[in-house]
Order: sequence, then C-alpha cells, then structure tokens
Amino acid sequence: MTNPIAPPPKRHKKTNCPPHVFNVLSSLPDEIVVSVLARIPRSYYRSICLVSKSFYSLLSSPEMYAVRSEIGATEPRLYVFLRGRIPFTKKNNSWFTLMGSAFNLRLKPVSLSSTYAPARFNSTTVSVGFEIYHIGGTVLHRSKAVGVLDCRYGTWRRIPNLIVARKYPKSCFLDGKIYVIGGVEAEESSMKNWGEVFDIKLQTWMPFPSPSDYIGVVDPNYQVVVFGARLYVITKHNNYAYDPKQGRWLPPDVGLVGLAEVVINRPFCVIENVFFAECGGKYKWYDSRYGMWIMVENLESLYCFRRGVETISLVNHGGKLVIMCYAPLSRFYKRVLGQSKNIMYGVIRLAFLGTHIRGELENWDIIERRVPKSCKLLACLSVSL
Amino acid sequence: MSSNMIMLKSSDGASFEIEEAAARKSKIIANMIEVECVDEDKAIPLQNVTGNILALVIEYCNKHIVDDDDDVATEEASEEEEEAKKKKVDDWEAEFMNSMSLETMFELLLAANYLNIKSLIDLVCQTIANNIKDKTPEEVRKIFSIENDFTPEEEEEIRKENAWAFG
Repeated sequence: MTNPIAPPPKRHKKTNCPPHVFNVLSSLPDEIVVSVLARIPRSYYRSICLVSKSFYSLLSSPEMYAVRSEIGATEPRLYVFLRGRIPFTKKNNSWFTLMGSAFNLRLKPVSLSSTYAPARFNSTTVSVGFEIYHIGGTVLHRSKAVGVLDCRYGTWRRIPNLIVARKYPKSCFLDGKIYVIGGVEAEESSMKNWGEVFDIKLQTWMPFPSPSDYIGVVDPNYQVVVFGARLYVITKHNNYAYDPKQGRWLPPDVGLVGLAEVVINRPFCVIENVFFAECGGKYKWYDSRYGMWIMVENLESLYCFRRGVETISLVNHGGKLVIMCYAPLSRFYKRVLGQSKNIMYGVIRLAFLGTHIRGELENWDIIERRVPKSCKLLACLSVSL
Repeated sequence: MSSNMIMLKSSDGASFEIEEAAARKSKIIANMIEVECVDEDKAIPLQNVTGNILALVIEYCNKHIVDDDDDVATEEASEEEEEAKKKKVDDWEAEFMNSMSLETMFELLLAANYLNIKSLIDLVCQTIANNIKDKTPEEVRKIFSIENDFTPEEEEEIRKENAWAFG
C-alpha cells in the first residue's frame, strides 16, 4: 500500500479559507484556547483580553495560571511594601508592583479588590508561587495575624492565626511549608515557642521547636534561610540544618565560615544555591569551598554612580539578582525638597562560571522619585504569575 | 527499532501507512495498540482528522520517532552533539510550521489534541501564540471568528482596570 500523501498545504490568506475552518475555530474547546493563550507573554494580556468576554474570563481564570505553571511559562514579578506616604500615589503603607517595560518601570499600587485589615509592621513576608504571606508583626501589640495576597487578582484573605504572636519574626518557604521563627515576647520565649510551621495543604500551624536553647533565646543574632533544600539557621558559632524529608535537625555544622557575619546583618539572597550579599559597597557571592566572599565580575558600571546609595534588599527574581536601593537626590532637588530620596532598582543577569560569577547589568533605574526620607521599603518579593 | 507498520484512515477516507513507533507518539493510538484492538489488516479510523491534516501529523511523527528511541544513546552523546541535534529538530519544526496557514495550524492543533500528541500540541500552541500576540483585539477576533460582546462602557472599564490586572 502506498501513502496517498496529500499535497503540502499551500500558504493561503485567511480571507479565502474554507467555511468549515471557521466552524472549527469557533468551536475550539476552552482547554485549547487556554493552552494557546498561556504561551503568550503576560505583557500582551492587556490587549488580548479585550477580544471578548470569554477571552477576558479565560485570561484571568485559575486554569490559565495552572497551565502557565505546568508549561513553565510563568513570569516573575516584583512586589514591594512601602511604609509611609508615597507622594505620587497619595497612599499610605501600601503594596506596589513593579510594572512597565525595561527603563520605564514604575511602582503601581496593587488595587486591592477586598478590604485589608490595618497595616501591620515589623512582620515577615514570604512569597509562594503567586501569593505573598504577610505574617505577624505589630498593629498596636504583637500580632498573630496572617494575610495572604493573591497577586493574580490583588485580593487579600486571612488564614489561621499564628500560635504565638510575633514581632520581627523570620520566615522561609520550603517543601510546601512556611516556617516562621522567632519574635516572641521575652516572657514567652522558650525552645517550644521558638518557631512554627504552616502546612499549606492542611492549612494548619504546628510548633517548630528550636534545635538549641541558645538560639533566639540567649542569642538573638541569627538568620534563617533555605539552602540546598534544607532550612538553615545560621548563627555566629554554629549552623543548624533542618531536613524536611527526615523531619529532623541534623547535627550542628561548623562549616560556612564567614557567612554569618554578612547574612545576619545585611540584605542577602540565595540564587542557584549561592549566597549573594552587599559587602563594602560591592555585590559579592559566597564561595562555600573557601569560606570567602568574592566580587561578582563586570559590575563596574553599577559602581560608577553610587555615591550615597544604600542597598535595602536583594532578591532572587527568577534567577536574576535584583537590588533595591535608596539613592540621595541630586543637589538641585535637595535644595528644593529637603530630605527626600529616590528608590532605585537594578537587575543583574548572572552567569555561573565555576570559580567566578559574572554579572550583566540589565537595568539600573529610579522607580520612585523623591519619596520622603521617612518612607521605608519594608519588603520586596518576587512572585510568579 | 520496530518496523511494524499500521494503517490509519482519515475522516475523508484516505489511508496512510505508518511505522508503529511513529504512530505511538499518539497516546490514543498507542493505547489502541496496547489493548490489541488493532487488527493487522484493518486501518484505524480517525473520524476527526481529515487526510491533509493527518498527512502533516504523520510527517511530524516520522520526524520525531528517533528522539524517543535514542534514550540510551543520548546519555553518551556529548553536549555539543546534543545541542546540534536539538538545533536540527528546532529548525525542522520551524520550517514545518512556517509552511502552514494559521487555519491549518488550528486544524492541526485539534488533531493533535484528539490524537493526544503532547509535543505536537506544545509546538502548535507556541507557534499560534507567537502569531497572534502582536495582533490587535480586532484581528484576533477575526482569527477566532468571535464577536466583540463588550459594550463600549465595559471596554473602557476594562482598560482602566487592566492598568493593574495585567501588566
């Protein structure tokens, strides 16, 4: 039997396509339309959603997000929480997202489509997929409250309260669970109260006891971080690693020399299992083999115009290193406006080259001009949408 | 590599001979072969696929049999070889899709969906997405043959809302 191979279809203009094709197209199952639309970058959604009501609802449907995550088409987006009054938006204590194209990025307020309880400060935040958890902190007193911002729709919801009220706790996300550590009142401070863990699937908090009665009770200087699929508590003397698979603390480890001094007191982040931090005005990475901080190469252009620039936050933004800084005003504006500052943002693409890491500065720009000196960037998180 | 041949029959009655290994790219056909409901002398009827589209599906499957069979070999292949091979497939796919109109793509997508050929679904979806992303809402409506069911007020409302909804 021979293959009656059909002649290769000729290119034809859509105007003269046979009528049955139109039937095919208008009867496309939603599932297929979603798999096509999910592959269009989000920045085009503003236009595409105007096609029809069904397109609009498909683009904003949970299925769309599910398909985007499944095919790895989610895009990282930055969210920040600013304390104080932002002149441009006339908003107090608000969440913003960074929008626009490169070199024209601005902070846009997240218009919350549901009411949000009074702003809590001194809290901890952690991003999980398309959501931001805003945990503990203070309103008037220490709070147990936990709010979750669904960044797809800009809605807040409450989840069960913490077991213990916490101010300035630390947090991280690992393996489907959120760990919240420290920040309890002195008289409540104990190994048992030290931390707690939220199981996202079960929606319950469970106590997460300390590996040692020393940390957080005697010594408040420590950092909590996810590193190599483990939760690390880094102190000046020891590092404690918690393995979520085994559900237990591993014996204390004295490795990672020189890490604690930097990450306890400075903004840092972990990208591809490498620590990045700002030390002495330069961006460096931690070489765990030698216990040394080494400069990220090729960032000279970033250091040229950095007089008085203060790094506030480093963020792993979909594998790129994002830096958030306060920068002083130019002399002219200082005379006119007095004590104000700019908020700056830098994006560095990283190339991991074994013994060295090279950076490529993709963007370095002011994202909010002339905010009052009292305005503080309290959180900066990368979510995937 | 198995050289078993099986027969497929399109909705408009055209018959196609295809290697079993290639046909197995379709989950549906693979399942049919597994449960032995494939009679050696009889063609598998595919009611939802026309001959010209089935020909494209078969062309795609034939091109892609090798990569699944090669699992053992690929482990030993060097990175450059891997990359060169991937580039060759990518080029072929680009050329393959490039020869099609948007309408054919949709028909091919429906066929791939019906036959459950995941990699082909991915390829066609991505190509259509690249094709329509820069189009205006009006042009997209034409392609999908849908009516604009927004009132001008609703459209205005959405434009405003979008300032934050979709960045």
